[in-house]
Amino acid sequence: MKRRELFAVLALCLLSAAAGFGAWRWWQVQQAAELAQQRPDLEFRDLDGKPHKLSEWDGKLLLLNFWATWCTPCLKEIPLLVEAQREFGPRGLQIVGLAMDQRDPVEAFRTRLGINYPIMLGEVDIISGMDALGDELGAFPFSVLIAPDGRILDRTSGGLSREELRDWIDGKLPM
Amino acid sequence: MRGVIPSEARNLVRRSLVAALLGMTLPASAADGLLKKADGPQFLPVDQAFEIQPLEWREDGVLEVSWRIAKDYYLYRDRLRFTASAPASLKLGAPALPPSLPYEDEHFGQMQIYRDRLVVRVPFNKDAKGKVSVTVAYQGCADAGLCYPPQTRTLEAGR
Repeated sequence: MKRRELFAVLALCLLSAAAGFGAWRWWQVQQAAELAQQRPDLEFRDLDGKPHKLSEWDGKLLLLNFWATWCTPCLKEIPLLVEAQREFGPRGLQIVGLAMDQRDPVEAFRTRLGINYPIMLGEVDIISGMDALGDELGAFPFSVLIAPDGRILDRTSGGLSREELRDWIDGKLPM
Repeated sequence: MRGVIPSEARNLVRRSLVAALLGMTLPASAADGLLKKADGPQFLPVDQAFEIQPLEWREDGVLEVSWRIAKDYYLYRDRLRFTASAPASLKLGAPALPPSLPYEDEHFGQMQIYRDRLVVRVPFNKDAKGKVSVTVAYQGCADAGLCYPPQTRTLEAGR
């Protein structure tokens, strides 16, 4: 009986240690994940030079799409983004295009592709924005999905197909 | 040993060990899922996609610039640029571009591209001596739907 109690105490000690260690790891990971996931409140300028902070779109499911006019996969993806904005905008999707380019070609493509969402423009600030949002390649297109509360939900490099885009935003719309 | 340690205590120890292992692994795997990338192709960093080789001084008056291009990646012919950086007396002639492959681009029409390997011979003034440096600009994409911004590299060769 004494030996049984001794083992029971030992087991309880082990269990407590495991629970404590697990809780500590969980807390550590939660802290790290929270820091890593919250989007920085970056500021970009639109085609008229007006500044916009990302927090302007808090409360929406924000899809940031980094692109350039010399990037064919970007131009191929934009009509799908236009379609998604039209269809899911009323349910809380907000797409914002961020072009690493000059104003004139971006303006021309905005008209040509009928872009129905805001476009930001820049060069160094666009690349540093991509970097701040977790990009590792510095290539286009690069997209980031941000929850209404500012958490970064996902990132992807390369053009998305219509199905991939729908899968990406499906179930994350606020309305 | 089986007769010494009671089975209840053995079970308790076993469960504690399982709990300890779960405590160590579960939080990490949960965090992995939070920042996952969308499923899709994995792309190479630009310098692995287009591996530029050291500048070669092939013979008097000819420099050779070459790239190893990864499978399923390509460089645009019309986005290649070669400019003399140093010395100030260095003058480059028209680069000898090898035959390229036609590529139908839905936005830019008929383009010319290079795959696998690209070697460009660039003539320069024969009186240039010592160390020369050339700035090379290039731009390319991946077939799976990604384009890298225009790249510039300054390469040196000496004799």
